[in-house]
Amino acid sequence: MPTDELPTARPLAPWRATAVLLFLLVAGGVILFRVQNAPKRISVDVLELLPRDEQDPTIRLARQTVSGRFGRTLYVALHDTAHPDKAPVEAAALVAGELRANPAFADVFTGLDPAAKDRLQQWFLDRRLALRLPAWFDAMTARWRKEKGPNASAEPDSAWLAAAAAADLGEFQNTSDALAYQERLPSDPLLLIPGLLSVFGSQDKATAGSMAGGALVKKGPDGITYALIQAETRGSQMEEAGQTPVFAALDKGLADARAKYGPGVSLRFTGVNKFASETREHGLKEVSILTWISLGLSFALLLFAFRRVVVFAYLLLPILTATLWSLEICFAFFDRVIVVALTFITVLVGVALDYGIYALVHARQTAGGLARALKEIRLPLVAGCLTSVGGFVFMTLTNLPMLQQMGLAVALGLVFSLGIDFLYLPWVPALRAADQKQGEVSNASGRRLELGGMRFPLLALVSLLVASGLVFAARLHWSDDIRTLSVMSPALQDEQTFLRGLFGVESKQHPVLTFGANLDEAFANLEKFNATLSSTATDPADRFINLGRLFPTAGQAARCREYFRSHPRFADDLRAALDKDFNADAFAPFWTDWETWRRANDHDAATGPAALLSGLREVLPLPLQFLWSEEQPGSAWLATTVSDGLYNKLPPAALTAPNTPIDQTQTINAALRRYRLAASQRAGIGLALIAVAVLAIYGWRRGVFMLVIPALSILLTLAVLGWMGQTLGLLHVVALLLGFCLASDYSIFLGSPGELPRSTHRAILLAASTALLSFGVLSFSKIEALKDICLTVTLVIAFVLVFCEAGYRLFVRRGAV
Amino acid sequence: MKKSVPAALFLALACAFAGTPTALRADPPASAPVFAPANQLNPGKPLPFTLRQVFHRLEHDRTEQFPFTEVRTFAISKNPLRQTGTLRTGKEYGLSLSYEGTAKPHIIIVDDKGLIDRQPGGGERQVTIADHPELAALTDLYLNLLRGNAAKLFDYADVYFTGTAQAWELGLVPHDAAVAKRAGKVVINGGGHYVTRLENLLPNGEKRTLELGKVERNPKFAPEVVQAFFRGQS
Repeated sequence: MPTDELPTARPLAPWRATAVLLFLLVAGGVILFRVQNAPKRISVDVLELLPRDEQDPTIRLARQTVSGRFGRTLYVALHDTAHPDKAPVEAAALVAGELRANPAFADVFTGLDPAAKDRLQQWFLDRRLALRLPAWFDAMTARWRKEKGPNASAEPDSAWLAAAAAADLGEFQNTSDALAYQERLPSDPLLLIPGLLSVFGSQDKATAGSMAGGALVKKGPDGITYALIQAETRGSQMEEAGQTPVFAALDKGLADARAKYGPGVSLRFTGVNKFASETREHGLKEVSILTWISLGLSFALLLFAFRRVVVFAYLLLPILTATLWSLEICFAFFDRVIVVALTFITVLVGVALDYGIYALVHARQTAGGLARALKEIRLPLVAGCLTSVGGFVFMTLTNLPMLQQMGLAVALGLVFSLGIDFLYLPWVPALRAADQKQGEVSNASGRRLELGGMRFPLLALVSLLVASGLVFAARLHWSDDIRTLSVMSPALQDEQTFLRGLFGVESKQHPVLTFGANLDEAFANLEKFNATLSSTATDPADRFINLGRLFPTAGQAARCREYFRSHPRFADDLRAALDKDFNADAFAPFWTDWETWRRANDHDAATGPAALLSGLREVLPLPLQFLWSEEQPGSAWLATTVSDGLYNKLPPAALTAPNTPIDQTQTINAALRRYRLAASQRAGIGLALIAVAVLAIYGWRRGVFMLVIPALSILLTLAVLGWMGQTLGLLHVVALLLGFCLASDYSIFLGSPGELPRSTHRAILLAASTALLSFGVLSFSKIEALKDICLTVTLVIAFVLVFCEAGYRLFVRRGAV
Repeated sequence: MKKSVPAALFLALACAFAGTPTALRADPPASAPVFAPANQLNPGKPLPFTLRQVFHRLEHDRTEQFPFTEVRTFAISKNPLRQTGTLRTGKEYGLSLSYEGTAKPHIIIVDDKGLIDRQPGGGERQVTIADHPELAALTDLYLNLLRGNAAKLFDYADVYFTGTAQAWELGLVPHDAAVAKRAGKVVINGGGHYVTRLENLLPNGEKRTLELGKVERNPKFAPEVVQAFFRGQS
């Protein structure tokens, strides 16, 4: 081993240096996977793209909701392949029984059985006067005013009210419902319960299935009849507690059902946990396949260029170590790392590879091998690295977790990678073999850029490119859509739509939550929302349903209390009115209940509508428990379902806090837009500072040469994207930043070729080609986010390659730089 | 995350109430002479000749139309309620009761999808079999009777028969408890091949009687009649 090829000071033997790196690599892997449990901390929840302290109250409330009961619901459907037209209700009962007994499940619902119906109806019947009398009284008052004209008193006469009630009862006896309702009429001559039913239209009765053999069954659009189970997991489905034990329970339930009822029994389910788990697997699997293909192609190219396998091992070792440790730090800083940020980190490998390639190509032309080469080119390497790092460091200054994670991991990865290259590569024996070919065009790095006679045509060409670039770039449409950031597979989406459809959840109706500090405040807010909904509804198809329509408003309750306090004779008037056509004594249960209610009305203090909810939770089956919630301290909500037509007519202000549509796509997209603008601003500042630094280090002319190439590449990339009619968003901004960093690396290398312009040119060609391959392959990803990033970067690199080639032939080779 | 308050959740609430009255009846249904044990027909044996003739006619008539008078006797009412109207039946369309001689005319339609209460002016209330499975047995019972499907009738009810060709009485006791509570015992009276009266006997002496006038056999229902009196395209 010739000593002149090695650095004079050598603290480590080559094998020891390699061993240290290998140790770091293995230790990093163990810490990442075992200690930090990284795979379980990768988030696929698109809402985690936004900061936890997001200021938009609507988004904050939506996050709370998703992390609450809504995010713990599981929809399960069983069918029998041997008997597709018969729902396997016994198998469903068995599975449901096992789920009920499993501590991972909080509640399991297989249908509204007669006993549950009885409990529910009894609850409403027991409270019919408190719940429905205020609305009944309001409606009768309106009728009184309409009938008696503008000169009538504000409140109906007690005798008139009693006569009107008796007349209504007489009419009711002629209806189709009368036969079935006779039994209840002695308790309800005011028809409060039929009035409750009239709140619902036939459209509201689109069912989530029907009961058969004690189970909820539904024939699917595929012609198969399913037995349905709705379950609520105890733990959050975004986390481990809501996944593995739940999946295991379902697997066991299915296995037992098959053992008892035949192998044809099949089970399908959907829930946030499946979504999270499979999305993580799917996303990571695809990224890993594409990354391996991309790395494989890059290696093949490098093999072709260097013709020595061992070279890659030495090049790759620092990069893998750097990437691994940058991830360590990223996971140390963030509880959960978003999968989109993680996929972005994988492209770091391609960027870091460039430093090694540049050093290697130089080393083959330099007498001193890698140590000497690294020393000679340290300035462009450091400048190039800092350019990239600078751009990404500024991303960490935004408050968007995804950008922070990307920025931190990529910046650290690049610094670590270059640092390890400087420390490790000089000791690598396999790379010391010099292939020196001196005699290239000597080129002092301090020489001034000379344009000579090319000044005019060059300026004209650049101006033309800039002008045409601007024309096409002006056609760009900027918009952010959070759905493109989802990595859910289309098959999973279809499965979710299908299963939720069986449960009636995919109808054209929009769930909106009305929040309040407590339920009474939520009811007060709901009253205002209901007023807006009622005044906006212009078509019979415009419908909305919520508890506010069943429960009295505070105003209704107060008016009702006051009237019946001041009209104690109403019961006598009613008795007299009923006795004309009916046997008044037949209404004995009503008179008793009325007297109890009247005494309470006279003596008890007024309570809010929330007090009426007492005990309802206990008699409600699982699906109905989504009507309201007070599980988050200081934040209660009431759910409203709004028909599609009415929802679209609502003024935007009606759907802002305290009213929160569960589908937050638009609000989140608006937030993403804000973050895009913030990211553009910060990255712009970072790049401007870098440009100043490059100009300061390399001087005006050379600095401009180094900056024009990436700037022009970015502009033309935007032009191509505009020509393609692409819609650009936050991720494109990140991709353009990455593209700029890569492009400036190459232009800095090209602009400071030292003594070996040809080898610099060769290194750039090789590095850009590998980057092109890496990003090109990844742009075939089905993950929209990754595809957008990689397509954009691929375009930038393609332009850089062309400009660098032109720059080399026009200036560098001729010694003009 | 989308979508997670299913609209249909509210419906379960509605269903609970729609099912309420039928679920709470406790008294046994009222009775009539036809329900004597000796009059019960055995599903494995041939039907009496008269009844076969009635079912034969029902099976072959595609449509029928009767004027009717309905009398409702309720425990809480001092006097029976009387309404008049037109009953239309069609094998393809189901059964329609158009209440015309009343302060609030309306149409009740029963078919294999459920029940519709159609109000004048276009409003209607639908009770679907999907929401109320107990309704399926009830509509099947009526529709099989309408179609002259004697064999199917035995699937849904115990069948009783007595009388002569000139004056016969058919009794049905539904097997399904929910249907029995809703419809009570059903007594159908007739003379010759024709039905003349249909009665629902409920507890507490409550009952609904449908007196049928002269039948018009196989009338041709124009599309607008089908649209107005049956489910039609709506």
